[in-house]
Amino acid sequence: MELLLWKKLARDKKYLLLIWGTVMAISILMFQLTESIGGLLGYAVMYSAMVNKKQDTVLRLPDVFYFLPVDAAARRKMVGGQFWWSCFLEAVIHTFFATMYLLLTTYYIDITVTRLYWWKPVILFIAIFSITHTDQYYSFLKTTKEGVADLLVLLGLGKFTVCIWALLLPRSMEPVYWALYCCFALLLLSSDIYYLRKYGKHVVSYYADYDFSRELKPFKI
Amino acid sequence: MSIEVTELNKKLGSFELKNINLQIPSGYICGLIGENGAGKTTLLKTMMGLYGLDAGSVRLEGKDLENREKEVKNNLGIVMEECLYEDYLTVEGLGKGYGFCYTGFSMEEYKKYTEEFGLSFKQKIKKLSEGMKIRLQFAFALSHHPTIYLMDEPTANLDEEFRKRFWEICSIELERGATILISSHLTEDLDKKADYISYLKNGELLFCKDRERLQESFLLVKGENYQLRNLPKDKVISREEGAFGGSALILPWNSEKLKEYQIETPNLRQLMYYLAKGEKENGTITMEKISKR
Repeated sequence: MELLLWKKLARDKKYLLLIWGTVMAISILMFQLTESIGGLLGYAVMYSAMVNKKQDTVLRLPDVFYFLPVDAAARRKMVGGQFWWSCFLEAVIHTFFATMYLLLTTYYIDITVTRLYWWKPVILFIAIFSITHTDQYYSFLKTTKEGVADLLVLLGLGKFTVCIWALLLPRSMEPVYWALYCCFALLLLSSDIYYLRKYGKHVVSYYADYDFSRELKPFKI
Repeated sequence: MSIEVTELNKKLGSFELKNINLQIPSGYICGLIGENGAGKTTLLKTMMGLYGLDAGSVRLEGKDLENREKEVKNNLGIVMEECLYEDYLTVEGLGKGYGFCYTGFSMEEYKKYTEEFGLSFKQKIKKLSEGMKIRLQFAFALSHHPTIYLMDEPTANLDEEFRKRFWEICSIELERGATILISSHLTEDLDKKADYISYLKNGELLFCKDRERLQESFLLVKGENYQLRNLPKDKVISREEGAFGGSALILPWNSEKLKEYQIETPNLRQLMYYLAKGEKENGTITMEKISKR
């Protein structure tokens, strides 16, 4: 579908859209890749830290790991399983997001050159829904009482990308979709601002005193 | 000593446990009492390794918690008011999933206790009521035969019948040589069962004393308000006056004067009440009086 659209844009000499679409597609893939790798590094640091941390620290395993008669080596083994599971999830989630972003990009470009079909808003809805992944976001904040260790990762720079993206939308888009998109962008921004205000200070002060090199040392997975 | 806490310090936000010293010999039960927010749960969580120590040491059965973590925790039976096990597990899953961590764990006994305590093996922890979660933790703890039990408000959510059974089992465990440190608001239980009483106030351990001797260290006197006002000030911890007379917690002394009053041995609830009242009214003076006893 994408390739057909690209060909169509080239044939119709809509070079601006072609360049914009290509840049967006590359940036989406790069962004997803970076976020994925960043996320994995984050998990690596986080899990290694959690092995020896206690309940009164931000980074921690479930309470049960600290009062069971297991030593750091056993905890590391348990955490190792969680690490690889997280890696798998990261890969799946980011592949999915990348696909959805690309579909969305294609759709926006497509809408400017072809007719609007009934199924296109459905794709738009699915894409928007997948980008927000708000359920994951909320459940994380809910389960870790003071835990906001990888808040910055979860805040998802992608949300800001989507907001900036809105500014780059083709002007020919119908007003109803513009309105929808703006509401969506505002919602994302307001939730980010809310959580940054609530936890940002805590995260900054935590990471300011954090000795990452020490934490990475015992990490042998 | 089965439990030895030396100069324990722990800061959690604005709250702080200050220089806690606690010694409990094997085969005894110690009640940890104090008002809400006094630090009972924090102390227990620090002792079980959920919080790191800022200073001091915790030695259980002669082994240091920091250096011999695995051995120490293997001998710890834990029952907390807030169930710390992952709530997506089933009752059976808890035994299978975590039982293997304890060298003395017996799945047969776990099954026996859970059945006796009215727990279904297939039920998920999150579906259990607070009282049932206590029963579950108790069953799990009993099944790995610990030598030390750390319990935080275990009886608060239990029905009368099971509370009775709970104390029966505790007595059996004590006879076996286990040591129990139990925090509770329900001082009526501790009045009868505890060998020692530790009183926490604002993160400080004011005393850890033999219960009977502790109760003998104070007297609850009742009389007319004017009579209570005549009591020597240095002997009065605190006083409460009512429309038809009042009562006061005092430090006993040999005096004929006391015969004028109705005298009782205070129970733990009364002790806690008057000590806290005295602290509010007289500040550190009360603490000095208590420390001297």
